[in-house]
Amino acid sequence: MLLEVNNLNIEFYDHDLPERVVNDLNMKLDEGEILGIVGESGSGKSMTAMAIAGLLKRHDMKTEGEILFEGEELLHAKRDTLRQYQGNEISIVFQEPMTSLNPVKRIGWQVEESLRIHRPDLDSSERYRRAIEALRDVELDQPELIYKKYPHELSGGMRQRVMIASAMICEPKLLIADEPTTALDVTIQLQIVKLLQRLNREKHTTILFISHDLSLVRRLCSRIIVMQNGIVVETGTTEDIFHNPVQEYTRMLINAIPKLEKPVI
Amino acid sequence: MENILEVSNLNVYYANQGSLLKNFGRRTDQSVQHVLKDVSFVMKRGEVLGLVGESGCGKTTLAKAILGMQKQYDGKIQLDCPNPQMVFQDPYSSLNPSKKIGWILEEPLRMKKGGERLTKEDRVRCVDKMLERVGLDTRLREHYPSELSGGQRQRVAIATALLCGTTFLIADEPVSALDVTVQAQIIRLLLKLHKEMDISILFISHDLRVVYQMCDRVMIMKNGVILEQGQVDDIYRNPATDYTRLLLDAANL
Ligand SMILES: Nc1ncnc2c1ncn2[C@@H]1O[C@H](COP(=O)(O)OP(=O)(O)O)[C@@H](O)[C@H]1O
Ligand SMILES: Nc1ncnc2c1ncn2[C@@H]1O[C@H](COP(=O)(O)OP(=O)(O)O)[C@@H](O)[C@H]1O
Ligand SMILES: [Mg+2]
Ligand SMILES: [Mg+2]
Repeated sequence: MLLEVNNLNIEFYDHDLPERVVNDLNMKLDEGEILGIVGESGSGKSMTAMAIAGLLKRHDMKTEGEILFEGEELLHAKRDTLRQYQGNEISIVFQEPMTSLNPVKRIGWQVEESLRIHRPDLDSSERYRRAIEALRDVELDQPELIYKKYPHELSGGMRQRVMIASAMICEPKLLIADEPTTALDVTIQLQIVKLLQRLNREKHTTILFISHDLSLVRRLCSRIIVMQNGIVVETGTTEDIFHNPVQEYTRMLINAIPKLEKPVI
Repeated sequence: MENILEVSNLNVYYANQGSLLKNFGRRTDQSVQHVLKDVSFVMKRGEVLGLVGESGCGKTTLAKAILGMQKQYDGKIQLDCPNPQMVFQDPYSSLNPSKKIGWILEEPLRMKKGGERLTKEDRVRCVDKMLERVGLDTRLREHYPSELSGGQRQRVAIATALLCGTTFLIADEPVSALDVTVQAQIIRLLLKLHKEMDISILFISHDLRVVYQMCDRVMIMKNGVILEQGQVDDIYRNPATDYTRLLLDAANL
């Protein structure tokens, strides 16, 4: 067992009324597994991801429960402890690569960032070697050229590959991909999904893949968690979810996958 | 005229500013990007025509040219509709954030050309009717865009376009930024409005599944060139190019 989330509750206090955005969430993630979380916007997927990545802010909110990563409790761990995990054992890739990349820093600098933090023993030539390797690993042509570019000089799909390269540079055990393809063309979405599949196969990276689109989740994940309004309403193997969906909500998500038929109006 | 739109041998160029500087202001061949290349097609009145291609292939440029927002072009564009309208991809930046929904929707009614101006009560009545038509609660009139979800905003954008009384709408990736569940709702809405109001729609997307649901005919564009066009069923069954096959594969067909 790589990750175990027990009775996770997340509540916001920055409005008049407290708002519970994640409600008693439980999940388990085995080593080498690709698990999907699906649900509509606002269902609490990103908050769950942020909690696991240790990125929730600490003011204006209350968290309960536990997040065990290889048995170590992270939800209420000290910042110093969390920092040892972030980018090192657990990495996260977000939907919009343009806002998570620093616009005034070259790609190489950003890809090497986690190495500077977690592998201070490496010298700059070794960092360079690993950055080039990471860029090549995410199937970017001419990594030496990309290394010297700025984020705005790349397309959306290339930027997302760079984000994955930065996330993978310390070879984390867990990669969280929070809607990594939502802003991209369907052709690029497919390439990113295939890339994640390959990283999982070759590097045995465990992946938590978050999306509102069940058709992508089906391509990638062996098991699926369905979330609605902060609650896990259904969970099962991809087969089960697609062949015997129990909840009306799950059926709606399945039906929303665009099909080759004209809707009846 | 049976055709609402005829485009022949349309070519659009953008001056590439980076290289203009490098060339000290002299226009060389490299300083101009040839974005649309000899684009020709017609659109019948009442048709839903799809335009498919990857980011950067020139879809929005074509839409702007048709709407007269692209002054620099060669070729011929004949649009037989006085007040064409467009709905954009990003529902978050297309509505004026400082105005209430009611004000935004009344705007096209304030500038009624010809005929007499509508009274406030008439405007509100029209707006309420349109809100219901696009499936929104009339109480939303009193809300600001920031209080609406992406799908609600896209409904407002569609309502604004239709309140102008147009018969021609360009929908430029109207669902690409939305959840799949909301995408399905907006597609249904557009189809319903198309049926009820007989508007012609140029529907732009990068997803062939969504295009199949919406469109009668489709054009496949790559690097500013229309590779093929025809009935949706024909093209999906017998794609003429590898590129169309790639798009079909990506759409999981
Ligand atoms: N700062 C905040 N204060 C209060 N509620 C918030 C805040 N940030 C997010 N939320 C709410 O948390 C819920 C879950 O959000 P999120 O996890 O981002 O959903 P998802 O990723 O599934 O779209 C939403 O209803 C959202 O409005
Ligand atoms: N105002 C502009 N000035 C210069 N180049 C532009 C401008 N708008 C678009 N382009 C370029 O024209 C090409 C086509 O863009 P666009 O029509 O927006 O494509 P699409 O809508 O298919 O994604 C792209 O290479 C883009 O960078
Ligand atoms: Mg999210
Ligand atoms: Mg565009």
